Amino acid sequence: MGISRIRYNDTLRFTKGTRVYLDTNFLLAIRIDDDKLMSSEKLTNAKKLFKKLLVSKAELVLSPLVLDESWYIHLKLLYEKDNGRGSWRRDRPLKNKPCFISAYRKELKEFTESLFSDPRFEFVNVTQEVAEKAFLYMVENCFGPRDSFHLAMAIQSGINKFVTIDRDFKTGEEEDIDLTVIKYSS
Amino acid sequence: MLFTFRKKTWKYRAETSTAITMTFIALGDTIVVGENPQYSRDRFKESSPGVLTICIEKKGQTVSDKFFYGQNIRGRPIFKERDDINLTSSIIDEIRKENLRTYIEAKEKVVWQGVDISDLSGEEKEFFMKFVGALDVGENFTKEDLHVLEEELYGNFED
Repeated sequence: MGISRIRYNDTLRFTKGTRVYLDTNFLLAIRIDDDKLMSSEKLTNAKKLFKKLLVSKAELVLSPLVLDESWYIHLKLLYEKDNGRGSWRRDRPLKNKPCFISAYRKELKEFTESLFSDPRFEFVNVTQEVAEKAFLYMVENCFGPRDSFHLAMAIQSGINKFVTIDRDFKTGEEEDIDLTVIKYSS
Repeated sequence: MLFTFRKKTWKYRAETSTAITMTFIALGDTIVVGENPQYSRDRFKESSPGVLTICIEKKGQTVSDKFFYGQNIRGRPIFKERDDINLTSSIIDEIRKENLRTYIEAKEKVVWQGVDISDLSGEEKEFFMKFVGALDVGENFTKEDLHVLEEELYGNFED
């Protein structure tokens, strides 16, 4: 038992139907057009891993938290694309002009619908049980609040594969956790 | 070789708006496409090993209205007309664009966002190409900014 860690490599294989929780950073790494970032091994490896998951017919599990974080990053990147670097922090558009979001309706809709409409993706719910488990992970296992929630949602859904690029994601000998964290960062 | 259906019959029919119907039959290293498979089989079974040959006939045209789409032994596409073929460029363009495209893409090496997705099924390939890399971050974002992005991805959601 515990949280073990494996790094992405080309020989990594998944059995059919493996349920894999996708962390937000992974989802975004595969979404980002890295045409200008081809030297980025990290982003390319994320895409390679995603392909492996498709080939193995894995079930790709997401949570409302992942969706929330993904929307946020989409908005930030799209806003800075249109308004220049640093504009997100300078303009604070979510506070000062929240309706700016409607300008990115098309992109957000396309992204969201692709998750909702594709049977490969499954959403898990936040229940009181999940929250209680997250609380325990946070106070007893020293996970941060967000990581605690991601972890609790995955564990509560019977998932034992968790894909992330978060180099800080904790590993250890937690008694009630059986999880393999797949990291594709170097 | 890129094609894996060797030594078994493989049929594929596609009808398009240009009313071209194709039947593909695999014969060893040869794939023949035509309205008349029996004729095509007899005619093209002598194709060179390692060369994928496709003959396409357009409905209502004579047998001589054919051309070949081939792949050399390295899998590189070759597209040439036979000497005895009288094809207009518009027909070639039409078939290139409307009819063979899906098939060619399915068999050629397809790289998307630095990942070889040739071995994905057509549906998976379509999904991958639609979903992966769909977020264009524009010119403001370069590889030097990766660390900034990472900071955001790691959960720095203050605003």
